[in-house]
Amino acid sequence: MTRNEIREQLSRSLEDQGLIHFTNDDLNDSLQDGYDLIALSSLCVERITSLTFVANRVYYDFATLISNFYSLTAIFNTRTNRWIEIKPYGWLATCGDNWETLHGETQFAAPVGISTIAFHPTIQESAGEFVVLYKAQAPILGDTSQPEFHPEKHSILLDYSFADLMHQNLEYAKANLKFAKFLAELNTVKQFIMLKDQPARRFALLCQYLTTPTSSL
Amino acid sequence: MPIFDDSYLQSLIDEGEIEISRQIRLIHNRIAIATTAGNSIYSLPTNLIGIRRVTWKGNELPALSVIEMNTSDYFRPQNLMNQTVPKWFNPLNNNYEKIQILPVPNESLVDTGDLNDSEIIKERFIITGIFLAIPTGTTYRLPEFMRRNVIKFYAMREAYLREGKGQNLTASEYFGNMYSTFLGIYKEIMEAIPRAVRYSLEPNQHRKIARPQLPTTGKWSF
Repeated sequence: MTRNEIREQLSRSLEDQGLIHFTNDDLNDSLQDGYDLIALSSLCVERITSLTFVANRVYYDFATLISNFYSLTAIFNTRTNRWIEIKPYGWLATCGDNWETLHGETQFAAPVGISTIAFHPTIQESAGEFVVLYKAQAPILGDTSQPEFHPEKHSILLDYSFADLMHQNLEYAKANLKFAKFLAELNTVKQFIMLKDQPARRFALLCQYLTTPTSSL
Repeated sequence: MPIFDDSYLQSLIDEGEIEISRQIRLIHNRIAIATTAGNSIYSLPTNLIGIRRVTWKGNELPALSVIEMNTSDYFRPQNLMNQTVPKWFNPLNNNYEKIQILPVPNESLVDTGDLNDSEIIKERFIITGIFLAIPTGTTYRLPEFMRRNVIKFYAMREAYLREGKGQNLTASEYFGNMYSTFLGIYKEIMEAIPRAVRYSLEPNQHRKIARPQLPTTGKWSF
């Protein structure tokens, strides 16, 4: 369903087809809030891009380098044609007390907080690229664009927005009911994405990107 | 005429951002501290709430333990003020207000430069830590994609709870529940990120857990 279609259904369920209580902007903002939350929880928006290695750089801030970056999936080192192994930050200490100062071809990466990624070892010259597969924040929905999760589950946005708009009208009991339904449905969306999201896909996505570089998958 | 004035709501929004950063502990940063030869105690930023890693010129300093105090030659009275290369750090109180590095450093280091660069890291005293949000600045903030969603419930819970005009306990309870729910959702989301192993890297969920048929005296007879 497109946002237009979802919005029309929402107006109908609110008994507000004439947009008397809620304007189009109210509905759009609420639908976007719901989509943002679904994208973060279910990791349904996936993107791929490439970045350049910077000489001696240990920490890369992916939030600055990739505008819609949310969470790391995998990194492929095109200098060595090998996947960079993603480890917990604390694990890097097993590579030596001074792992931040060691040089060589990058083999490991570790997230530090939300968007900073530590690389080890670091290369000494600015050359070559690495391909980043990542989960992205939800894109802004246009009237004719569709949320990037299974169309069968688009109705979950109606539940979120209904609850969101009802509490603005101080209708807490109705809002609670719909929000509980939203949370239950959110779990099914998460399960659905998790089952689809298998390790072998990384290879296929990388091959596709290296043949035709485009950030959308 | 609005029930709550803007400045009151803004104060709740700021308070909410700090509270959420305390609950979820998701703001990680690396800071350099300028050192002076002969001085072993240094002040820490007031919003630091956890230390993940401390390095002196690129080498990790472990936290000082009782075992080291008992076994290291350094902890004999005649050696305590010897200046050399630091080997341990020691948070001086529970609030992370000050840090001590031991042995007393024999070198003065500056706190400027790009801390992402390994050549700079080799010449700095650096602390990687967890910080509280500072809503008036730009460095220590909750990420944009979650900020509004959670803070609004915190602010509305507190606003409706205030004595006097606009008090509404039902509304406050509702927003309190929503705040707890959203905090739980975001906590789960954020705690998964540093593990670095997202769904796509985990073992296939379709696979069954191995359930071998082990021989038992009842089922197997020889």
